[in-house]
This record gives sequence, C-alpha cells and structure tokens, in this order.
Amino acid sequence: MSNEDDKKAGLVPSQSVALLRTGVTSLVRRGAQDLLARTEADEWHRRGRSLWEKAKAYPEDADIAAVRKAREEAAECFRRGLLLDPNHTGLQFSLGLACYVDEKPKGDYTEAVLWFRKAAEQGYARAQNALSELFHSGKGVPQDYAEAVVWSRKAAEQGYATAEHNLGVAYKEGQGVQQDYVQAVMWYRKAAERAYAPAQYELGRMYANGWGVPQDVAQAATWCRKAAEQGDADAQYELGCLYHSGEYVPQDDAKAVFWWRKAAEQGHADAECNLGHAYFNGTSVPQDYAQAAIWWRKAAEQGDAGAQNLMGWSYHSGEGVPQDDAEAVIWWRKAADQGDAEAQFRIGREYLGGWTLPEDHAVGVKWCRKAAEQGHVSAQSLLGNVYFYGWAVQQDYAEAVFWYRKAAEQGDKYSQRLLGQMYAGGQGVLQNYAEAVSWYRKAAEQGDAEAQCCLAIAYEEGNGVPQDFTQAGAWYRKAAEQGYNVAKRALDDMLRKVKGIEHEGTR
Amino acid sequence: MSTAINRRMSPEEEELAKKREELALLQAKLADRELFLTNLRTELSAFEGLYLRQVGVLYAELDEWNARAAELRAEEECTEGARSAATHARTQAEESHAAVHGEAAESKEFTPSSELKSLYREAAKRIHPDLATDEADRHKREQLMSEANAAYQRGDADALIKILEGYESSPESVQGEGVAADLVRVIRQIRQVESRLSQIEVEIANLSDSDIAKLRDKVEAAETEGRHLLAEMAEDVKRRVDIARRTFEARPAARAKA
Repeated sequence: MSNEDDKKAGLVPSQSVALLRTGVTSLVRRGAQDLLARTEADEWHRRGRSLWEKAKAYPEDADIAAVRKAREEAAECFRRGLLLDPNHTGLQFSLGLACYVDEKPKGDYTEAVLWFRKAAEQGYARAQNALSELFHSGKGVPQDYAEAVVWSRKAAEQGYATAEHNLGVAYKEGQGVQQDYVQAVMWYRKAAERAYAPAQYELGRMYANGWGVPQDVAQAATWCRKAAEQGDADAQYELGCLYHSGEYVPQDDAKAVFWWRKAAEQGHADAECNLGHAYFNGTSVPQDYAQAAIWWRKAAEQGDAGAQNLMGWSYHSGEGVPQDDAEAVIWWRKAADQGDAEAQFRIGREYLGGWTLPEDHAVGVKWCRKAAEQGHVSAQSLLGNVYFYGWAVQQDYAEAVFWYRKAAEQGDKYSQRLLGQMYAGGQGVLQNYAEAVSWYRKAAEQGDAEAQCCLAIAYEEGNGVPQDFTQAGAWYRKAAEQGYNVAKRALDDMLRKVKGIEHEGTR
Repeated sequence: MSTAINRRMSPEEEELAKKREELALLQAKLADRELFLTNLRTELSAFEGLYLRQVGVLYAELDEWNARAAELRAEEECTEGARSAATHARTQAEESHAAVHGEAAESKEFTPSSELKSLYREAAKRIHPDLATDEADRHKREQLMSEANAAYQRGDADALIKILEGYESSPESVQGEGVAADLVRVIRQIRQVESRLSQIEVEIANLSDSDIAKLRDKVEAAETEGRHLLAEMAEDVKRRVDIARRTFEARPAARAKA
C-alpha cells in the first residue's frame, strides 16, 4: 500500500515508514537501471560477437587489414558493453579473447590475462579454462602448473569439458599436482562422457595401459573408436594401429588403412608415415611406391624424422621417386639434425666414404658417434673401425674395442668376430684366447665365414679351447662351404699336417 | 426504484430517478475500478516483496560490504572526503537493510477468489467514502473501507461479509429528507464518484508507470521466453557482492581485523 492509502486509512506514517519506502523505491530503481544496463551490454556483446565471427570467417588469404579492422570493431563493441556493465562476464571473456588474438604477434598477453582473470574470478568457466591454459604455457603470466591446475579445477567442477580433460592431463603427467592416474581417469571420464573427443582418446589410452583403471582392451578400443568417429586425428591413428596389430580388436589391415588415411588427411604425421608403409608394402592397398613416397613426403615436410629418413632412403634407392643421391642426403641431413640415428649413420657414412658428399672424415666421425651413442649397431661397428684404423682420429684400439663390444653385444656378427680378433691379438684389451673363442663362436654360429675360420684355427692350435682337430675341421668346412678360400686352404694344410703326425705316430 | 403507487412523477422525482440510475451505474463502475486498482496495488506489492527478497537483499549485502570498505578507507586515509564517503555509504547500507527487512519485503503473492472479488466489489459499491453525504458519514465510510481493504488483502471473506452487514444495519444508511434534498445529495454523490473515478485512472496510470510495474512487465515478458530475469539479476548482484567482499577482505587492514 502506498502512503496515500495509509493516510486515508488513518494510519499516519511514522518517519521510519517513509524512510523504508525511500529505501524500497531506490532498491527497485537500482535493479531496473542495472537491468537496463545489462540488456544494453548484452546487445553490444551480440553485436561484437557477430563482428568477431565475421572476422573469423574471412578466408585465410583475406586482406589482413580488413580482418584486423573487423576484430578491432568487435573489441570496441565489447569495451562499450563493459562501460555499461563492468562485471559482464561474457563481455570480459570475449574481450579477453580479442586481446589474446591481438597480442599474439607481440607475445605479450597482458590485457588478455587481465580480462580472463576478471571473468574467471566471477566464476565464468570458459575464462577459468583460458586462464588455466595461459598459466600452463606461461603466456602473459609466469608459467605455473599449480596455478593452472587451480583454475582448470574451478572450471572442471562446473562441468566444462575442456577443463576436465586438462585437469586429467595434469593428474596424468603430475603437472602442478601429485601424479595420480585414478584422478586422471576420473576427470578424463567426465569429459569423455560429455563427448569431448580428446578426453575419449586419453581415457582409451588409460584403459589400454591399465593406468588408474584395470586394463581393459575392449574399453580402450571403445573409447578410442568414439573419439575417432568424432574426427579426433590422434584417435583415428591409434585405432588404425589397433586394427593393424590385432591386439585389442580382430586384426584387419583394411580398417587400419581406413583410419590411418582419415588421420593422415588431417595431417597426422605418424598416420601419414604408416599410410606410406601400407602403400610401400601393399598392405590392403595395391603396392605403389610413388604413393608411399607421397605420404612419407607429407610427414617428412612436417618434420617427422622417421619420414625424412624414409625419403632419404627413397631417393637413395630410387623407389617411388627418381633416384637422386643428393636429394637423399638432403633428407637424411634433416632427419639427422633431429636426432634420427639411422639418418645420422647414413650421413656419417657418406662423409666417411665421400660418395655424394665431399669426403670429410672428421664430420663423418661426428655423425657416426651421434648415431652410435644412440645405440645404432652399424654406426657402433663403423666407429670401431674408425678407431681401429685411425680415420680422422688418433688410432685407439681400446676405443675400437669399446665400440665393437657395444655392437657385438647387440648381436652384430661382424663386430663379434672383430672383438674376438682384438682379444686374440691383445689389441686394446688384455690378450685372452678364451674370450676370443667365445666371441668367434657367437659370430660363427650366425654364419660369419671369417669367424668360423678363426674358430677353426683356435681349435686347431688349441688356443683358448682344447685342441680338437675334428671341431677345427668341421668349422673350416662350414667356412669353406661359403666360398671362403682361406678356410679351404687352411683345412687342406691341417689335414696334411694331421696325416703327417699320424704317420709319425705309426712309425 | 419502481413503485407500485400509480401516480405521475413530478419533474424533480423524474430527475431524481434518472440521477439515481446514473449513480447506480457509476457505483458499479467505481467498484470495478477500485477492485482493479486494489488488485494492481496488491500484485505490485507482492512482486515488490519478491524482488526485495530475491534481489534487494543482495543489494543490501553489496551496500554493507561497500560501507565496510569505505569505513576502512576512512580509517586509513583520515581525510574529510573519505569520512564523508564512509558516512554516506553507511547511510545507504542502513537504508537498504531497513528496506529489505521491512514490511514491504514480506508481501506475498495473493490470488483472490471470485467470491472475494465480488464481495469487495459489493463493499466498494455501498460503502465507498465518496458516496458520503456529510463529514461524519465520510469518516465512518473511510474507516469501513479501510477495514474492507485490509480484509480483502487478507483474503478474509467473512470479515467482508460482516462489514457489509454492519453497514446495512447502521442508522446512517437510512435516508429520506424529501425529493429536493435527495436530488442535491445524489448529484453531489455523482460528482464525487466521477472525481474519484478519474483519480483512480490517474493512480492506475501512475502505478503502471512506476519502476516496479515496468520491472514486473519485463520479468513477465522474459518468462514467456523461458528466462528467469529475477534470478539473472540476483546472479549479477551476487557476483558484485563477491567482488566487493573479496576486495574488502584483500585489504591488509581487513585481514588484520579478522
């Protein structure tokens, strides 16, 4: 009832009632004014957003100035809206995003952080997630995983799928929180159930590896497929691998190639590689070296070291591309620079041999060592030779033994035999015939003719093994059968000698 | 009005009969408009109560935090400006607090039954103060009308019936001092009622133009679009409260106090 009625009713209003009325009226007016301001701010937001979408819709080759103008106009709308309603979270986030894009070339992000933070502190999930990602990457703020987790947790607790996924990643990697696979699975699952493809893929991997959840290959395949069907390139690649290996799903190369192709068409480098392999080997597609090279090249051009190595090999062998050693070296060089051991070995060997590159032993040795240190067997063996012969380095038998042994232990028969010879000759290592014999035997059993011959000599002479002509004869014969003439002659010599001994014995 | 006595009516009597008919029509209209006005007022007051409970309380909370922050600033800065700002903020906070904890905030929504409405209409038709013939009568009628208003808003049909019965049996309702006097009285009543009717229209227009009515219209319009405007407004102010609270609590002096 108004004062008018109170008076009419004979209820003379006291001072406090009048004051109360003023208070109520002013509260109503504030609400109405704020509502009006917010409605107008919403209108600016709508206008700004449509300008922003317009800027985004410009084709990639559009006039940069026009795109920038549209973006600036959008930002201006957001600013005007914020003048009317300074706490409008949607506007704060939109302006933050506009600032982020604007500040990207400068790498500064100060204003973006400011606006994202304003909206985030008011509980706006998208802004909380954006702020978390800035803390994660250290853009506009000092990099801080713990702070990133704080903000992604806030957004995740509001059910924002991207943040749930990011929080899962944080728990899985132990970034900003104690590593905890169970928690990781929990958050991945939340986002996955909201059909967030990257989380579906990650959840699939957790099941596949039994991380934070009992290993369950069927679940792994199910989640991977969900993500793949939504177009997640990682998942498409992974699903292709599952079909290829047949570990979790019935083996099916046609399906493998189908999913690899999907991922490859999205530019997934590993998928491009595998699709190339499928063409190269003719796995469920007609064998086609040219197609193989086309897909390998795509991956190689993205900087995939394995693919660069394969391109080197293609040019070297002339399969699928015109033979071109110079081109091969270019690709090997790229892969080698990225640390691909095979390519490093190839480059090293080219420099050492001087076939396509100017002979430069020092550079060759450098590359060989890089590959050898990564455990590349052929490189280790070659490096052993480098030290044995003293190519561009001080001759060093001990170093040669070191590298021969590395390769020998990985089963390289050539290095096993050389190592045996080093033991027999006491070169770079204390002379030890027993050791020599044991290495000869490993190589001999792998069919190395020279090692078989060495082993035979050891038996014949009783060096490191009890003298045994029968054994000696057997190993000589194996070597001789491979066309190793030294063994044949040695066998003949031994047989003659043995006959002589027998003759003397009978006399 | 019809009479069994079969005689020609004098011109005064004819005029009186006409005027009485006119008055009867106006009384009915008056009752309708009074009812409409009362309902509008009640609805607005109910909406106001809802608004104060949902949104107003948050403004009051916001004002409280702002007042505390201003007082803290006044303590720190010790300037005349800061002190007067603090006083102003405190007054505002008290005003808002009183407003959201007063009677206005208690108004609840009320949907009158058609029986209640027709009882009220009947009461307005008969005991409306603007039908009074002298000051004493007016005073009596105002008293009764006020009771009727209160009874209507309580939804108390029995009380309304009692008021109506009480009025009918009261001696003031008995009339008759000759045709001429009646005519004068009826004409005066017509004028008073017409004046009240135009006053009601002004009041309705004023009420419909008030901030609270406009706010209610917006809320109702939004509701047809499935939006809950009051909840959105509350959400908005709540965020501002959070900011104000955080800002206050972030001040070193506030932390020291805590």
